[in-house]
Amino acid sequence: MNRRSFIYLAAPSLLAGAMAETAAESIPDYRITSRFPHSPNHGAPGSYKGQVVRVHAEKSIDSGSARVDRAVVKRMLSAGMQSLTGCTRDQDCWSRFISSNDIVGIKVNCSGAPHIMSSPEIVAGIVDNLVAIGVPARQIWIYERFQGQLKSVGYDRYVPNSVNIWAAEKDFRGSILGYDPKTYVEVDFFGEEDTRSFMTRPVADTFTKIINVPKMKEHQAAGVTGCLKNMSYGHFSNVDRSHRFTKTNTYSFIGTLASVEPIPTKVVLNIMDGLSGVWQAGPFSEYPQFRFYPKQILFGTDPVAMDRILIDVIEEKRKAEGAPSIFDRSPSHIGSDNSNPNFNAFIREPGHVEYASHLGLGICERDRIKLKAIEL
Amino acid sequence: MLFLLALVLPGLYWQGGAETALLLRQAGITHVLVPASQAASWKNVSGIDAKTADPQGAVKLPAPGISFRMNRSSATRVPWVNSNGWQFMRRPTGRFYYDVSGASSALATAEAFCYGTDAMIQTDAAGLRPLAQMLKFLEGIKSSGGALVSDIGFVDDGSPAAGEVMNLLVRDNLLFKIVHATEPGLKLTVRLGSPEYPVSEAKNPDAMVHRIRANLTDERRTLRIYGTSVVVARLTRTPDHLQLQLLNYGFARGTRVGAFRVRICGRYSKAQLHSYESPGDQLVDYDPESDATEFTVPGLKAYAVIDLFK
Repeated sequence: MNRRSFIYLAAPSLLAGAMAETAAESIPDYRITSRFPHSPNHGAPGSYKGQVVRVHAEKSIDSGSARVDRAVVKRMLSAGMQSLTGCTRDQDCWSRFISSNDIVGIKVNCSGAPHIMSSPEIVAGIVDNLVAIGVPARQIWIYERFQGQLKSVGYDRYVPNSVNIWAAEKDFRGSILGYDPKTYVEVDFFGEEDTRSFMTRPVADTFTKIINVPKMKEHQAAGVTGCLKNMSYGHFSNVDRSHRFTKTNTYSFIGTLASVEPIPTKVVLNIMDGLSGVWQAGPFSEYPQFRFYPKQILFGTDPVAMDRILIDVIEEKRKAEGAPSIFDRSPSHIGSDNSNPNFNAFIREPGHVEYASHLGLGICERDRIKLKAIEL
Repeated sequence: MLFLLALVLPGLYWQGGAETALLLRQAGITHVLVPASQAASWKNVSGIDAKTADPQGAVKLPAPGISFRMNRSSATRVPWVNSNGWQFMRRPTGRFYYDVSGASSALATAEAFCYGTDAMIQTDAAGLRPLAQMLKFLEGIKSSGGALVSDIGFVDDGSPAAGEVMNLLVRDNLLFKIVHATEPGLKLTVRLGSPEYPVSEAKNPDAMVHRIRANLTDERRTLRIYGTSVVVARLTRTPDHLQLQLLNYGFARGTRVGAFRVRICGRYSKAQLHSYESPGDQLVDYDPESDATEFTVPGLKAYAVIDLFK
């Protein structure tokens, strides 16, 4: 064992009785190595455990052109942060989470780019607020795993020049230099030879705080992809190995990755972009007919509670479209042609949200979540 | 201190006559193996040393490389590695023959060298320069002359099933050597047909190799590679020195592997990387611990050698 690292195992015994029916049958043997010890002062679920603020604005995005109104988004950010914190000045809201000394990573989600991604207008609004409380632009990083996806969005056109825009890899399995070699999860899902998933390097080395900005999407494997998926798969290498044939290990892998220090300590705020979203064949956005426009942004520090709300949004939309529930496990709905919303390549695992709750990442029970809705 | 051993270098097998000498010279070829029928014409050609050779009777090898078998495997993007390592291990004194084109000639040359085998490599005009460049690089490689490092002893009965199991062991970097019986120092001995490894199950070599790996356990493996699925390693050892050879099978498609991580059992305080066409490359994030040494190889074109010292 590396004397400067901490090895800890996921504790399935703690989860006994809490598992959803099928996926819990075989939780893989995860071996976690991190340079960072467990911290009692988690950013997640944070000060606002079990609380979610939803700000809806009909004029935030034009459903026809997908054009985002930056001024409306600015007002949404202000309303959401004030509602979450109880502060009346924006600067006070942001100062609850970030100080001028912080090096702030903004974790965007670009897997559906260039159509569906963390909106640059929201990201730019976050940057504006950080600069307003004294964080130098050079101490702000917008980051993602794959450079091609990140560049296709063009965040640089929305933020000051000195904001860092960084990707861990140029393309799929490009290099592990963008990852911390001493912080990783080791697991063998299907007998694959490469059993390590390394954490992105600046998350371990550079950032002092992270603002998580996921996109509101259905996910072919995970059921939904929101805060937890962006905290987990979005921060580690070699993660797509968790799916094979119809089986996916997202049920336990998402929460396991998201709980590896320092991620839960550094992710102090989640702002989920629901201006637009994907309700089928996510996380990509290959099919325009599966894009939709919830015209909302969710705010919170509790990634589990926020993803629980996300499940409702996706389920409601799928129901309205006549598509099977993301909790459906029927073999008759398994098929490679996911241009048909009745089919999906994998058995989805939305139970990953509940699983993460048992790892201490937040509240999953809907009746314990306090949802505050604001209409602009 | 290392000393240069007389290593077996693969040779270019060239059927062209002396009129092609300029082509070879321009590519940097200085030695050539020619059929007996051409020997006389090459006798007085300056700058190129020609020896006769006959591929007849040599084992013809497929081109090393990778292929994607999306219809054969599963929803995985891990490519199929076409390695000839097991063939060399099965016939350590055998003669081998490749017929490869383009940049594959460099990989074939490195592969044969890595296993210390006697190989003739036939290639086309596009393959001459890569082959020559690889030979030049290999001439500078110093071998420790160490023993092969193995975790597994494999009893090879010569059957196709055993061959396929060995093929998969090579591809997965499950270090083995061929034995007749259990030997001290090996962590596991595998004999197809034993109760633990029934011949009937060897019909699915992939499942068999998973079983071997499970019985060995990853924790006891001398070598692990993380971050790539197309690099095959070979490891030799002297009392104070370890030599790791790395082959990138993606090179046949022109793919340079990006940075990947290596874990080797044992503490090695320093290491030196010699990488084909990347002379400036150095290992990064070097981390010698008490029970294992880890480091990152910053990239790999076709072949590299890493010397590790205690």
